[in-house]
Amino acid sequence: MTDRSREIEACIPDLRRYALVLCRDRDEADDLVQDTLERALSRWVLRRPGGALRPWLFAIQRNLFLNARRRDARSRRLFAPGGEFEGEAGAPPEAALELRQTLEMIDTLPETQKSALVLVAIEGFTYAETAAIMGVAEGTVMSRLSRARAHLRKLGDAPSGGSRLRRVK
Amino acid sequence: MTKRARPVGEDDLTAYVDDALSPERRALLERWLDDHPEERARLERDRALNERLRATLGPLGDAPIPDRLRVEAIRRRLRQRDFGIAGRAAAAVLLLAIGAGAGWLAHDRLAQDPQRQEIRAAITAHRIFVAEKLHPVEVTAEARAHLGTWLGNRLGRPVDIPDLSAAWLTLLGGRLLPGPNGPAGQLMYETPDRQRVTLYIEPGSGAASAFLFAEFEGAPALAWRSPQLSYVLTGPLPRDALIRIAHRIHAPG
Repeated sequence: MTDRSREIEACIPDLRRYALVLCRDRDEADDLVQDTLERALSRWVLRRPGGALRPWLFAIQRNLFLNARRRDARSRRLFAPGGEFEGEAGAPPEAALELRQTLEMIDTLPETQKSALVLVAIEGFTYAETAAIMGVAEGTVMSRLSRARAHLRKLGDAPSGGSRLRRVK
Repeated sequence: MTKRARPVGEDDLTAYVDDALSPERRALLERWLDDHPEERARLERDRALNERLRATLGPLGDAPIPDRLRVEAIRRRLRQRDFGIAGRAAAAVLLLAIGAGAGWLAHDRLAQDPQRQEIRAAITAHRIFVAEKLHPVEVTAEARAHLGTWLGNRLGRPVDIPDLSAAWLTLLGGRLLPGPNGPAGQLMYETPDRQRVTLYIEPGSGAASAFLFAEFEGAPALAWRSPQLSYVLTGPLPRDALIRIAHRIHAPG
């Protein structure tokens, strides 16, 4: 196996996680990851020399997702919030519930805020890397994060609908 | 004049939550938060949210990778696909030598060849409009049906706006252009990594032609003709990708 394959393969678990957060369906998510990998391998020559691999792969994946969503918005139910994914089979029920609630919670955000939050908080990208992935300025990433958090705080405070989503300790 | 630190801003608060502050800035913010307990409580909640996201969604990456996502499997599939397309296209490909020294811009006999004039017009239009930030297209993709009817009327034959989403190209829109032989059209598409690809169309002469590759100042182009229309596809893509897109244009779905 070449270094390049090894380097790409090391990113696959993270790409699958991000895809799942975007698509909320395991098969759709893996289709998206597969498209991303095909795209990356067949367009390897177009890569900016010296550019970091992981942000590049995430940028391709997000753009493919947005294109597909735009394309399918009218014709199919795909990518509608509230997909079927409710955790891996065999996970303990409390973990599955927590996972579902967390996914539902971040699904109340617009994609731009959700991606900013997930890329920074879960994937550990810097603001600069996240800005490059999303094709926006660093300040935009920070204000999206700030708005996402304000919204989720308000959701946690809401007396009715939001209480279901509040963390149970 | 003594040097004073920049006042605390929302950007500091956001960066505090994500541990993205420099040690000095972080110390300054800690002192500020001592005097602002409400802000501190808010930031603690935001940090707890980060923890929750990592704890809950982090393990989503732990599931074993299915065979079809192994890099070797992806490579194998790409090889099979490329071979199929390249095999069909290879016999029909001619290479048009264009370059500063190859007489492309010289007013020689070859420059009078209609297809070369078209390619030159297409590449020129490509270079002008892909660089355009404010108005890359005249009619945007939202008015796709109108764009097709309008260009069809001006070119005097039906124009289908190809859906190239299966080739990862998103339609941005199109415009009417003055071509060497009358009205021409330009459709602009964008790749997922935001590179622009244009499809130039002119009324055809009734005869189909083979694929012709041209490259001029770093803009590779693929030209061909159907009986109805004459096409030039230009964009910063490898040859096999241009051919794949060309096939897609004539075999929709």
